[in-house]
Amino acid sequence: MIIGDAKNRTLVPSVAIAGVVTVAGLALPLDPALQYTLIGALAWAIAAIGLDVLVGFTGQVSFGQAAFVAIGAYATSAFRLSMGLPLVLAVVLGVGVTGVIALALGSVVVRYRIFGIATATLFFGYVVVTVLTGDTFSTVFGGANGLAVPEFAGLEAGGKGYLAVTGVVLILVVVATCLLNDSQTGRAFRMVKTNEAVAASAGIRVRQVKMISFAYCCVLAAIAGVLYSGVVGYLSPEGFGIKQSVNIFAMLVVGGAGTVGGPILGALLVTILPGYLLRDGHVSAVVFAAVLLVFLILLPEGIYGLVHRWATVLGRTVPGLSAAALRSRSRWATAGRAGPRPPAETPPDRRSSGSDTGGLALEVDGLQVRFGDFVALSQVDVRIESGSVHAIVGPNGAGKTTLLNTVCGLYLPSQGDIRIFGSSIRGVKPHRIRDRGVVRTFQTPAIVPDLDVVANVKLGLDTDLKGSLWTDLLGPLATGGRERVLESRAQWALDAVGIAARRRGMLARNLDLSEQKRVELARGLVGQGRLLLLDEPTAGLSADEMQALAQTLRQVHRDFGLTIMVVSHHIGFIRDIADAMTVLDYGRVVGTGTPDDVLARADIAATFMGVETAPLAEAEDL
Amino acid sequence: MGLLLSAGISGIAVGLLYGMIGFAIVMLYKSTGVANFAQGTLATLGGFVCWASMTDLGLPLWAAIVVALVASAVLGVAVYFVVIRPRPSAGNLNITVRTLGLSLLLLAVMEWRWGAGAPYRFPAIVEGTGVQVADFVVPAQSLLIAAVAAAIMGTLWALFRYSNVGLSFRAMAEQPDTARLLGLPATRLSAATWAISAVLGTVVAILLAPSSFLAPSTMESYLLFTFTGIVLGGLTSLPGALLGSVIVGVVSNVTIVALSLEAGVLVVFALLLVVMLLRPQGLLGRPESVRL
Repeated sequence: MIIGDAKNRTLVPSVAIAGVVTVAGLALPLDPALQYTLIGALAWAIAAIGLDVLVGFTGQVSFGQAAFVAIGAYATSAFRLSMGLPLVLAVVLGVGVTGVIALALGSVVVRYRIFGIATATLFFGYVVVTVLTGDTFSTVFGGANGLAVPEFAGLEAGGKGYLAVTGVVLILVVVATCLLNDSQTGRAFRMVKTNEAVAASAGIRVRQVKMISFAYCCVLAAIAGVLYSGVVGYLSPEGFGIKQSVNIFAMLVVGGAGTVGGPILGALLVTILPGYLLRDGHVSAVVFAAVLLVFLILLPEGIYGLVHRWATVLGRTVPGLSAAALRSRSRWATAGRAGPRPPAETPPDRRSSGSDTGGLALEVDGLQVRFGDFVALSQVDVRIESGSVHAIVGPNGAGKTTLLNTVCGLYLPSQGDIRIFGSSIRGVKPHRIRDRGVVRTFQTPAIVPDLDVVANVKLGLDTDLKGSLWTDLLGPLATGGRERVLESRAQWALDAVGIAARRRGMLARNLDLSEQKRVELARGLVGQGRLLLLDEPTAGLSADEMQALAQTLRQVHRDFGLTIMVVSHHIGFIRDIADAMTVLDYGRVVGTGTPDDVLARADIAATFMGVETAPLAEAEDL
Repeated sequence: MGLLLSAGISGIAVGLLYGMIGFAIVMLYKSTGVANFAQGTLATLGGFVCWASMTDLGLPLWAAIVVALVASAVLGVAVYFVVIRPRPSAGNLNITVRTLGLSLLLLAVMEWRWGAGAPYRFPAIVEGTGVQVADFVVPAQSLLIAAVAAAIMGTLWALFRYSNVGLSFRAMAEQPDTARLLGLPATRLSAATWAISAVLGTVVAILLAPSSFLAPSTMESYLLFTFTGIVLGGLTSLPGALLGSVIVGVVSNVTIVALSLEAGVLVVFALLLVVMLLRPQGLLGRPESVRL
């Protein structure tokens, strides 16, 4: 949505790209200048892959990536030169220092959206170059004169051996990054990219996820810096300025953001075209900028996306190929499922703790919510019995969605209090409120469009079975057990809401509206949800779909003893499922009680259904 | 002390220059959601057009300024139609990166054409020593900057506040989709916004050039400080951008004079981080609330 879709499960093509380039570089008799440029390109590719995790997968931005390459390169070299540390220790410390600096800067910038992050990272890049150039640290970093990097033990700087090492590191980075992107942490990246507020209300620690993504991005930059410093043998600050940060950005734009193999292709093109073929003249700079603009405007999916699209078209027109592609895809699908399908009835842990009956699930006391001078809710009181279905109705703009948003912590009340299962949520962050069992759906289904259905449901378990960066980097070897639990719970939740098995491998965006709403419901059900907030689950559905949804809701309500708070405009639907209802108008409660009692009141009928009895009579008198 | 005070005074003048660029950036950001990273190079190009009109065409300064202002308005419109308008569905980040690409392109062209002889000395627009206030002098250039900034901001403010065109601009900035549905000429208004931005940039470049010389990369650090001023001011607030920019101008100028260039950059960066941590909505901005 921000910079196009991200691709799923790109391990095989991405490793293939990195492998082919490395092997070709090793096998072909390249002239020294080209080989030198190629090694540099592979190093920059690592930095570009890191940036793409931040941009293409997490939807954030950094215009200071070159500065982190510089920090990695300078820190490692300084540890070797000034402190005489051995290479390996210096590299570990150099990359570690970069990670710590990234976390420090990240803790500030993740509070912001694009504009703030762009400004702070751009400025940070400028600061780093200024400090490296200045006299204050010139004894350590060489100032404007630069820093000579001692040769890596036994590796000739531009030789085949160095190329092999760089290629192997690149392949390892590609594997780790692909595994990360397809893990629970990677899924959380994608949800943050889609919508931060929705991610928070689904239990994802948005800032923490953004920090992980930013730190990963910068650590890869540092690794790139170490490899780059070894091949050039000499560091000078101006090579890491804003222009180079933009160059790295260009690599992923040209290669294809939201993929892992794409940035490698981009790095090759961006580094070799101007540096080797055009010999870095003025023409080269103009051509480079023009190429970047053409890609941004005409080919935003980059080389990788373009080839992917051609391959799909080719597969469709040539029957033999398409059968082969199908076979490989189904193999992937089963491989992803890891083992036999668990029994559909596998209940979540919640069942064992018993369903909620007795007591109040939600108490809203004298709630006021303001946006500037506009009072959206005023003196609102709502009581919802545990285990009941409570409908919120009212005309458009009455404050129904605002009430839901306040209950799940997205808006802060200016007065009043909200208690969920007896404890106040004042000052509690949205993802913590989710931890207490509040799950919700949105008017327009807030699912990750470029993830498949099962992966979307797994996101609902982020609170209970959180990804850990370290295991997620190792892939199925380390996360297999967790993934199997996630998979079986997700399949169970999809069974509960009635999504056909053959639709579960599809990208969520390709489902129809009623299915998307059910997937969102499944994401809520799958975790430890006890209080379900549904915002207009019936909007846009046909009569049949509405009935089927009511059936499903009754079913899950009965089976799991959930408390449901539902906003809807459909009287029939409400009469069908609700035990109680509250009517809002202009941000105030105008009626509350059982649906039959409330709907029988003439004044409610007037506000809610637009039957204007009294005002019409007055109008005739005038 | 007197030195610091006069650094502060010229800091206000520099801050007003940042503020005018910031004004242009915020105007574009509010109406299109795009942060224009090409604002600096667009400005520098305007400065070069003015300079070339004098040296290559032999025009007097005032005529060269007119040529540069007209040329930058045309360029602004051209940029909108060629770079920004195609494929609006690509999203704001894509279009923001397009402005970076545009910036690289303009920079490369300027390096190609004028890079070899840079930096160039630019003639002073006003002569004279300035005005004596107590025991220090306010340079004439600073007075000119303040006067031009006041005139431009005043004019734009009056335009936005009292004219029908201004009302359309404000509608576009608040609710672009609704404005379009109501039949406002969105394309023409956006093109005009780009033209105004480019002209503002050129004005700044011409005011800046006499004191800082003219080189293709002149505006790089300016753009950075401008963006900082905007974040300080609250991203979407026009007066905020001006206030934030003046603060950045004064703080950076005083620390550079008192300590060093490095320290100036570091202190402004620290200021940025502190404001981001303690007051995320900026000095005059409103906290944003999401619509779901």
